[in-house]
Amino acid sequence: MSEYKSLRVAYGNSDPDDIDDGVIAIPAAVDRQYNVVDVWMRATGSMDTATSVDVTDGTTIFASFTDTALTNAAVVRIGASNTTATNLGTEAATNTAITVGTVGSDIGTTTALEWCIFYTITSVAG
Amino acid sequence: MATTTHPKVHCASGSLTLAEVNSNSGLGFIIVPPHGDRTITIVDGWLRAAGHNAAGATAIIIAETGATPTTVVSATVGGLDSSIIGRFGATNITATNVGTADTKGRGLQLGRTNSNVTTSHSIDYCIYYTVTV
Repeated sequence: MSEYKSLRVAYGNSDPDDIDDGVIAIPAAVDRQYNVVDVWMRATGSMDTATSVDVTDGTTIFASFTDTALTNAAVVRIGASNTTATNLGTEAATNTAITVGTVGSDIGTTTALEWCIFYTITSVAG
Repeated sequence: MATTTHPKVHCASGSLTLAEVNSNSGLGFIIVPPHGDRTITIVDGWLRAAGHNAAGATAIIIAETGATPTTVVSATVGGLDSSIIGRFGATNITATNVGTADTKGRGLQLGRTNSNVTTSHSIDYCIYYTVTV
């Protein structure tokens, strides 16, 4: 059965060092559960050393963009080549933030990474 | 950067005739009216030519309203084939200022550059954006 929830968006244009550390895109909230439903990213410069940049709650990876996917200045949508969207649309853990971060080595020559995450929020009993 | 709010996504969608797209000396038709204390940020969207491939103009643009507006999205007419969804950031649909806040107090308009758009019957649009006060 379809649900009709308000769509929210988190957008950022992050320094690669912050991505390497893991950026909190959507802070954790008490008794709230996020559901990431769509994502796009755009690198400024080349992503030549990291394995991927993932959108995750620390346990579940909702969207993963390999360095091959993130070419300079191209808007890359989840579901495109070299991205993995296995858990897109899966509820995140309750009380858990959504982060954007690097997997593998640090990002190389990229000067910035834009990320845009569409999501919904579910209230759960405390 | 930590996001501290959960901005709602607004959607402006519709279909403009070529006369509307070509109006206002090419600045086009206002699709989101300006509001004095609001700031709009486009975060995604798509365009589609209906009836025939777009031609004539150099590009179809989505820009701020007002004087010397910033262009947010520019789609060369070669990228707008009949009945094909052209997503922002795809080939020929440059999304330079998607994700960048527009000037406060300005709305959005859909227009064209250089010559008038010809041959299509209309231009469909769907724009996702946030509004901050």
